[in-house]
Amino acid sequence: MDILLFVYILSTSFIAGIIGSLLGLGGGIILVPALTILFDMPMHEAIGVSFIGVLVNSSSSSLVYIKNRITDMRLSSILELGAVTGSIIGAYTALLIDSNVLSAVFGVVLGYVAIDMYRKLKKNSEDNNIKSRSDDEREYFDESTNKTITYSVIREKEGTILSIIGGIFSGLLGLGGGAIFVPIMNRIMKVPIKVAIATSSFMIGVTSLVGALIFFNNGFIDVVIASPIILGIFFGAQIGSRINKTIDKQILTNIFCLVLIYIAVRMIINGLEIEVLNL
Amino acid sequence: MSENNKLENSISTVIKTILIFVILLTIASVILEISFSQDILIDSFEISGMNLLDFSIIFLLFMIPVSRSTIMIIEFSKLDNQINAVSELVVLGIILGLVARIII
Repeated sequence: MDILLFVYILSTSFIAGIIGSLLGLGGGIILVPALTILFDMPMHEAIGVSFIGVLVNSSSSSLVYIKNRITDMRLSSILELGAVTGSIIGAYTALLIDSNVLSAVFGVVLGYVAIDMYRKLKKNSEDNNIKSRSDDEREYFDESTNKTITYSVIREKEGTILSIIGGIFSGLLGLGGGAIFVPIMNRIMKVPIKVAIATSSFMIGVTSLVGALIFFNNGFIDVVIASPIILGIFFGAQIGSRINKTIDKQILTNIFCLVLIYIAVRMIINGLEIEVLNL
Repeated sequence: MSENNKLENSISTVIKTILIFVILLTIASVILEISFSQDILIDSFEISGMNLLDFSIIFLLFMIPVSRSTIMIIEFSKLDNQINAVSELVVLGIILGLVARIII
C-alpha cells in the first residue's frame, strides 16, 4: 500500500474515531462517505471495511461503558436477536443492490441522522420515564447527577421486532445502527438515554460482525485498507473520549449537523448520478 | 462481588485483552508492510487469501463479539436467566453459521 494513501486513510479514520466518540456515533457514518467521496472507493468495499471500523469503535467504547456499569446486558441479549436478523437481511440486500442506489439510500439516512441530532439538541430527551412499571427493576449510577437511577424496561417484544429495522440499516449501509437502536430503547422501551447509548454501543459489535462476515465471504473486505482504519478509529476514539468533557458539544453538534447534511446531499447526488460542479 | 459485576468484569477483561492484541498486531503488520513490502516469512503462510498476520488481526477482531457472547451464555445460565441465555445462544449460533459458510 502506498504510504501516502495509508496516511490519508489513517487520518480520516482518526477524525472519524474522534467525532464518533464525541457525538456518540459509530465511525461508519463518517467513514463510508469519506472512503467513497475522497478515495473513490466502490460503495460495497467502503461498507465492508466500515464494518471493521464500527467493530473496533464498538469494542473500544463498550469498555468505557461497561467500566461505568451503564450497559444493560440483559436488554442487549434480547434486542440482539432482532438486530442480528435485520443485519443479515440488510447485508444480503446490500450485495444485490447497485452502488448508486446504496449511495442515495445512505444519503437519505445521513440526512435523517443529522436532523435527529439537531432535534435532540433543541429538545433534551434525557430520561423521560424512570418510574418503575414492573417488578423487574434495574439501576445504574449516574455520575453527572451523583444519583442511582432506577428504571424498568417495557415493551420488550415490540423493541425486539423494531430492532430488526436498526439491524437492516446496519447491514445495508455499514453503520452501527445506533441512530435507530437508541430511539427504540429510549422512546419506546423507556430506557434512560445513557443506558440506551451504552447498550446500543455494546450491541453494535454483534451486528457489525454479522455484516463483516457476509461482506468478507463475498470478497468486499480489503484487509490492507482495514489496517489504517483499525488504528485510526481506535486511537481517535481514545482521544475523543478523553477530550469529551472539555469540548462545547452544542457548537460541535451544530457544525457537524451542517457537515452531515452537506455529505448527505453529495451522497444522494452521487447516487442519482447528477453532474454538478465539484464543490 | 455480585453475579452481574462478575459478568461485566469478565467481558471487560476479554474485550480489553483481545483489543490490545489486535492493535499490537496491526501496528506490527503496518511496520512490516512499510519496511519490507514482501516479507517471505509472513507471506509464505496464506489463509483465505491473506497473510498470517492479517488473518490473525481479522480473526481476533471477529473473536471479540464471539467470546463476549460465549461469556454471556455461561453467566446467564449460571444466573438461571434462561431467556437471555437462549437468546444469546441463538445469536452465537447465527455467527458461527456465517463463519462456517466462509470456511466451507
